[in-house]
Amino acid sequence: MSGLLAELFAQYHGSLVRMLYRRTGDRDRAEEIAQETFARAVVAPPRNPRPWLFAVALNLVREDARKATRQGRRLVLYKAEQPDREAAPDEELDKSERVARVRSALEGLTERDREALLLKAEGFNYDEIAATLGLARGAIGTTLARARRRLVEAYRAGEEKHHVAS
Amino acid sequence: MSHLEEGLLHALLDGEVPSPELPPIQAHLASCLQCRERLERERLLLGEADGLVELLEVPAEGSLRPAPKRSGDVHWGRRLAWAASLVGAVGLGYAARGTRAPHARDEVAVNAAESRADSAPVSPAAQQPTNQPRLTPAEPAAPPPRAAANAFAAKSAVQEQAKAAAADQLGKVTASSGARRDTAAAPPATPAARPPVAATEGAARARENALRRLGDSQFRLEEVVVTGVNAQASGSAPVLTPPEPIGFADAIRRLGGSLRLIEGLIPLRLEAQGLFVRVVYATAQGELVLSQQLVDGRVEYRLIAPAGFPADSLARLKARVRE
Repeated sequence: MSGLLAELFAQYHGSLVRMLYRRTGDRDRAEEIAQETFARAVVAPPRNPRPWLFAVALNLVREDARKATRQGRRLVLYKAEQPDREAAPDEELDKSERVARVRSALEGLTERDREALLLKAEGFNYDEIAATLGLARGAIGTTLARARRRLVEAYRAGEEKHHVAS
Repeated sequence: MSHLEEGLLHALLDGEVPSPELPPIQAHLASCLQCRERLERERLLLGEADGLVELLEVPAEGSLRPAPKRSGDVHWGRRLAWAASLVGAVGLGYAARGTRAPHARDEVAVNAAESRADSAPVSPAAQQPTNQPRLTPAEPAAPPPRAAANAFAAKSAVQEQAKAAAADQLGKVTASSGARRDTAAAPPATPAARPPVAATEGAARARENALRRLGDSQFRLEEVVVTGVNAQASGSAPVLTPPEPIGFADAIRRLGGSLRLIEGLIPLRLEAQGLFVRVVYATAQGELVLSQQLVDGRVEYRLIAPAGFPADSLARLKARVRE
């Protein structure tokens, strides 16, 4: 591993995998895509690494989703998040349900809104989000405002539905 | 000046409004109660949205089993492990054929009322040696396959700095407005940040783990073989086919149109093993399996919990099994 790649890896791998995991809901897939992303960085070392790495990774996610659609794998199975080891089973179930509702709410967003939100959660500033997603900087505030509102609304709707059902 | 747009309010809360553009915004906020109230509402919304995203934590290493793979994705190492487990299971099962005795299971099994004893599935551990980490060939250009769990918990310093900048910018705006300073100057209601861990430390640990896994490949193969022996010795029906990932449609078809699930829980995956359809759920103690089989036109099912799973929780889950 070259020095540059080692540095990139040390700096961004954890953040990239976290973002990919939140995007895909599949830790193994997230790690595979992160590996592929870093492998591409070796071939064409980026000048502005963080937006580049995240843009490539998100492209790979979209590509993977398109392949899945073509292959008829339309069903998304959300992997339940690993609960805290010390948590009681009831707490785990509750957390698992909340996480599932967040995932569902996140999936309901448009791709652009969802990606902007996940990049912001990784500490991207507006310039970096704009560079990663190919958007105008002036549009980022509006995009994030809409994404946050829709995420919270969808989550609350899921919560109400759950309460009514139970 | 007209009212502040929603996007501008969020840019303000994120600390992303350039300094030269701040004075007119400050002036407007000072004179517009409506916009100050909207700013407060958006601050709460932002905090809530951030909190929701943070709920999606990356599972700690080794806590989740690999996701079901497409056939083309199955790694040679995993194929080898399966082959070894099958050979080991058959060979050792044959050797122990005269000494088989009822054996305590590693997990607690609760029979559904209509379940038959002879339909008992084998231990999930015995059925799923793919739990082992995948072998990744050493490749100088590729990074280690997994980062240490600590790396996931680390909040980036950049993110913390951005939040501090936003709080600082908001402080300036509201302080100059001369109104509602007490509420507007408060930092956004974001959840407490996890303790930062140096990313380099995580990467170094990840590299060590990758090397260790490669070195341990032989050891892991032996573990798989031992698992196969347990399956034979437990007295359960020998199962020589590995579980294969299936979709909902396939599962429903195999069960004659009536798949059962645990209400309120999200399945980790669905898989088929012989005549059994297994719905697998993740719990802190391990995997919980709702195993189902079509017998004489009826679905029989069993709930199989890992060792240490509380019996009362298991009973509650059993009551939540729905078609």
